[in-house]
Amino acid sequence: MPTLPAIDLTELLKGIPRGAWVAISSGHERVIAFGSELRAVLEEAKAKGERDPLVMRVPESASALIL
Amino acid sequence: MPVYTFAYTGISIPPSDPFPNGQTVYRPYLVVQIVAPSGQSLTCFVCLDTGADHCVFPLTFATALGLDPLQMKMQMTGGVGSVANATYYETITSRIPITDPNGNVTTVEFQTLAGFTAGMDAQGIGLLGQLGFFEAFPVTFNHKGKAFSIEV
Repeated sequence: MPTLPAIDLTELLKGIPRGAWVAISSGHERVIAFGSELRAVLEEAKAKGERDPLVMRVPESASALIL
Repeated sequence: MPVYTFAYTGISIPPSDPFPNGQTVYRPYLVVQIVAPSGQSLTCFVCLDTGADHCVFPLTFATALGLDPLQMKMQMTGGVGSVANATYYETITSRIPITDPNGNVTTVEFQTLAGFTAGMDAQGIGLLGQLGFFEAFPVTFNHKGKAFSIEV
C-alpha cells in the first residue's frame, strides 16, 4: 500500500486570519467558511451545503508545538 | 492485519531567534470524525501523540457535539506550560476514514473515554493518546521517511 498523502494546509489556509476557526470541504480541497466562533462557522458551512466539514483552527502564532 | 501508511503533514514555522531561517515541522496528523453518544459528530484533525495519556480535544468541540461540560466528569490534567487544565470526559466514538489510491474507503473505529479541555482550544486539533488509541493499534513512526503506519 503506497503512502497516503497529507492535506496541504499551507496552500489551503492561505489568507485565512490567525486564530480563525475554519471549515474545510469534505474533499479537503477548499475552505467553505471561517470566523472567530466555531458554531457560526459550522452553521455557515451547513448553509452552504457542507454537512460534515473538516474543522480546525489556524493557530494564533505559528510556533513550534511542545504538547 | 492491514497496515496503512500516511505522510506526515508539513507545516511552515516563521523565523525565530533559535531558528533564524524558519522551519518546516512534520507532524503525524490524521482526519478523524468524533461522535458523541447522541450521534452528533464533528470531523477534525488529530495529532498522534504518544506522550498523551488520553485522547483529548478542544473544549469548543464538546459544545459542538452537544455535550455539556457541567454534566461531565472532570479531572485536572497537565502538559507543558500548565498543570491545571480542567478536562471534561465523555465516552466518544472516533472514526478514521482511510481512502486508498483506488478510492476505496475503509473506516477504522474505536471508542474511548476522551477529554475536552480549553487548553486545546488554541490549537484547534485533537490528540490521539495512549488510552483508546495506542493501546488498540500498533503504530510505527518513520520521521526520516516522513511517514507513519497504523496496523488496523
